[in-house]
Amino acid sequence: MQGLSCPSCTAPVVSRPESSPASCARCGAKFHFDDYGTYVPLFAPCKVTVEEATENVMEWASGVKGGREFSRHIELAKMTRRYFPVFVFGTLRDGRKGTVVASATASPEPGIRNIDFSHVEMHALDEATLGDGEVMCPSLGPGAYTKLLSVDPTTRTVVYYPFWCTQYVYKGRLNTVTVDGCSGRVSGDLSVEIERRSSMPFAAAAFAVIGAEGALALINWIFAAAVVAATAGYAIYHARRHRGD
Amino acid sequence: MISKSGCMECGAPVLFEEFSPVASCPSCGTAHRLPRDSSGAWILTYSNELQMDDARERAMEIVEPKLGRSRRSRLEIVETFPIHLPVWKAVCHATGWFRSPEGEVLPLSMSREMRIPAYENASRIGVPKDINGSDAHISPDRDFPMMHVKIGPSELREEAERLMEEEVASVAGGPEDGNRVTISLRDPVLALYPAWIVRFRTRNGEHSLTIDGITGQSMNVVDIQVADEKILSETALALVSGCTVAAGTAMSFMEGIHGTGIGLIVAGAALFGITNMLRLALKSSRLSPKPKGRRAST
Repeated sequence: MQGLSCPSCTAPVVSRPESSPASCARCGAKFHFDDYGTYVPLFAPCKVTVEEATENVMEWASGVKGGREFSRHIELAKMTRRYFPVFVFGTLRDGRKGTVVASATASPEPGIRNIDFSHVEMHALDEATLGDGEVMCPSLGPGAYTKLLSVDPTTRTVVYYPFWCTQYVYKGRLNTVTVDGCSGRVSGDLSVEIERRSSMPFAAAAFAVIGAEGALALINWIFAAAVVAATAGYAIYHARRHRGD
Repeated sequence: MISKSGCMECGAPVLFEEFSPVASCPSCGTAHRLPRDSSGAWILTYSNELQMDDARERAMEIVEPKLGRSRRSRLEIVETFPIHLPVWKAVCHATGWFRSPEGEVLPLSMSREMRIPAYENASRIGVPKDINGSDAHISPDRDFPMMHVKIGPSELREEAERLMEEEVASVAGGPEDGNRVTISLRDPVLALYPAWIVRFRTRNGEHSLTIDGITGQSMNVVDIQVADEKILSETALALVSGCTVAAGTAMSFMEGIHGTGIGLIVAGAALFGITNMLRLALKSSRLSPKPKGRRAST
């Protein structure tokens, strides 16, 4: 491990601190450290209220096919605000700078790695300003992703990012939903089952109508053929529309 | 052999003999030791053989066939991340005696290798289908994304004993039948198995698929309501039958009632009627309850 230096004033840290966070002997700034160096963790303030988060979840559930009815019947558990630590790795590929986001916890919650930082204001972490949200502790070091995501762990920034978390039960399964605390984007498992009615009545009607249209040959057989073709075309369109596609 | 590993110094293969926690690299002599958890169980960490792009590709190959054509175009992968799943492996022994249906006292000895997922939501995330020790990469570090171990060593013992009791009861009956069985657990190993979780969005919602990080197979069943292709076949049958009847009707009206016209009408009606009756008969036979299987005898 390389020598540590203060991320604020770059003064060398003479002896490895016993615990994180530590304070710089020269400028007094607080910093954290791991096997890859020192860093100042950042946090993104939560801009979405709990009411907005709940509304977003309902809109998200209604937005899928068959979801309107579904969203009327689901009951959400209480929304809790959590700050998840994430690594933001800087990458350089083909001369272009980019970022890769990875979670600093092994939580399988949806959406906590799918963060767009382009419009997010970040500030140095001060736990007093986080309010009553739950702060998740990192359980991984940046080295966990070196091989898996082809990133350089020394380029990492640690950001505590807010999410609203809730759960609901559907078809006997517990589903977790998260709402991005900055953008309001919703992520979670959503599998709406659309009730399928039997297609037999429609097929029988199509059979009877087309069979009867043969009588139109009395007027003109070309006209009769055209009407049969149009009816058949409509039947195919109807079938494709209702097969749950 | 429990496992092999790459030497931390020179990369040569290091073989760990079963129950021997220490091994030396045959190339450079560096000593390696298997990590253990607080209960003394060995910890085997399996390397992730798949990269992120491979996992996404496999997820698409698995999900696309389940969707109809128009839903495929709306299939979007929203998130892909690696995870290690802690799974307990242990051998459970049941020894004792049981009473046969004839009243004879017979000895009982059963062994089962058990795989018990130690993480939450195992039914949703899935469990690795096969874990064998020969390809694990032993890492002295614990720095990889691993799910929280919900079932510790004491809960493992309870769970393994419960499963073994059920198995013994299915074969030889329970204590109420006068059986006396002792269950013991041996050689617990905590395998940390790699997987990728791929979350994707379709027209009907969002879902997550777990991809085995070694074999690339799916570890869970994605709850997607598949397209009802039966509607198309039923409609096609109705159209063919209807057109046959229409031709017969046209002929009858234009040329008067005669054999060909009547024949077409009857053929069309018969095709539609008989095919649908057969379909209904097959469907009701599939839905009828199956007879219960016999209990296995010793």
